[in-house]
Amino acid sequence: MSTLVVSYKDLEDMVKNAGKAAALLEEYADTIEDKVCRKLKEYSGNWTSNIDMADQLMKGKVERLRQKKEDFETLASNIETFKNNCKTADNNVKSAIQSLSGDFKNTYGIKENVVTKWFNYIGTDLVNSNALGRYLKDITNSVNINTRHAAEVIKDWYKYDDGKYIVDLLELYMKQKIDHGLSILRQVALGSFTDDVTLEGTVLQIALGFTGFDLPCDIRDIIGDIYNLREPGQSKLPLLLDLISILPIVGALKYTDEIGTVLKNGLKQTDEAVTFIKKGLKNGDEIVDNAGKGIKGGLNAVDDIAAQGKKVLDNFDIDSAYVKPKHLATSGGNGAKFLGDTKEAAEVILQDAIKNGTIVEILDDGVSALGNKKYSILIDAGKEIGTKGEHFIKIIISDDGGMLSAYPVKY
Amino acid sequence: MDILKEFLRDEIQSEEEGLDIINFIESFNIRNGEYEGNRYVLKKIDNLNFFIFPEDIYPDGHKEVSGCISIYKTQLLKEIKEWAQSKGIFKEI
Repeated sequence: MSTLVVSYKDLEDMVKNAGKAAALLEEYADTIEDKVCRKLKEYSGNWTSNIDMADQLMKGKVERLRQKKEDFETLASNIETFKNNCKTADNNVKSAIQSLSGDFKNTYGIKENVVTKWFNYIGTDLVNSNALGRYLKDITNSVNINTRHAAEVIKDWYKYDDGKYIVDLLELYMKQKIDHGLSILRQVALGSFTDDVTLEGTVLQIALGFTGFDLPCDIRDIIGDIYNLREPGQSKLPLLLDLISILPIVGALKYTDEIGTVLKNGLKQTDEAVTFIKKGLKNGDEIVDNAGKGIKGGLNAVDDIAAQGKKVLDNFDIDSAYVKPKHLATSGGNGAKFLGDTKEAAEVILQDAIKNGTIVEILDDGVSALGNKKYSILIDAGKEIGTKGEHFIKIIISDDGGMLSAYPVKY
Repeated sequence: MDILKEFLRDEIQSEEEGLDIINFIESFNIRNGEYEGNRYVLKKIDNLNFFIFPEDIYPDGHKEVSGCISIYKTQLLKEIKEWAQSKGIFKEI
């Protein structure tokens, strides 16, 4: 969208200048006609071709000058028409806006008076009437938009980017600082009438002692100490110190009780910290003790399983050990195969391994449907016992003496 | 008893066994069925779901399943490949 800025004053100047130019052109043409053409016409000598040519040229020039004069007059007239049209359009727009705003005002009961008109003039008419006003208005609008954008950014930060928590923390911090400041003021202003004791307050009280302002404070504190003595169990030491403080040299000593309280508070917190650390260490010891007990218990359980499994294996009737058909070298299927061409040969290998082999691992294998414990026992046969070079046998036995499975494994 | 761990230990001791089981798991021609190993049975429910359980056969011939796990195809293949790699059974996957 482009913007057309029309200045009525410039247009009026243009009309005037065009009119002047037209007048000058007419004057020039009249001068030529009067001083050149007329003299040529009155020439009494031979009318040569050169004189004829000069006459023709002058006449042509006069004609062109008058044509230009007419052009300028037309231009001035057009500019005047354009200016009038612009003014008409302006007036129409103004009337339309006034009509609309009038309806709006009537609808909402807005009344105009001298004050509102003055503000309208300042805020609208004056600002929009010149380039500087419009420029300043643009800057103001830009500032407003940026301010709203910044507000939105801050709002988002507060709502969605942890801003709320940071503000809460700052608020808490400020509150603590304000409370602390109030405690200092109460200590300085109320003395023995308040329980607030802070390091800064005590330092301020001592500093006041050097300004000569301590006598009213001493009297206030003595009254406060006497007032506090009405409660049972209250120490008389603060009163004694405050009485001694009336002596000028030892005035500062009267705050020994506050300093003591400050130190006591500090030491109390140190005690609490030590107690906390002690408890932590105690809990740590308990954790270590419990972990030790757990490990010890776990190891005991493993030992128990191994011992029970060994016992079950010892009681197992080795002669009853058998090889399932799927573990015979002559059968198909996916299972591992024992060496030996027959079932009997395979079972001899198995029984020999159980008798003479070394137990490598005994694991708990759950409980059978009849409630018997099962054990998975891995035995190193010490020689090749499977068709794929296996040296180990895994047998599953239950504590009722039954064998559930036996097959070669590699591991 | 960790059934999956015991299954891997007992049934995948060689590359041949491992590839047989993987083929059983991945084959689209085997829609369902059982892969019977030394002690454990891998039961294919469909192309994606499997049961693993130890099948004990007592001397009197009765069978007993004392525990069972269900496992999804991708998880089972991942476990097998990791186990076989860690034991050096598969040279490369």
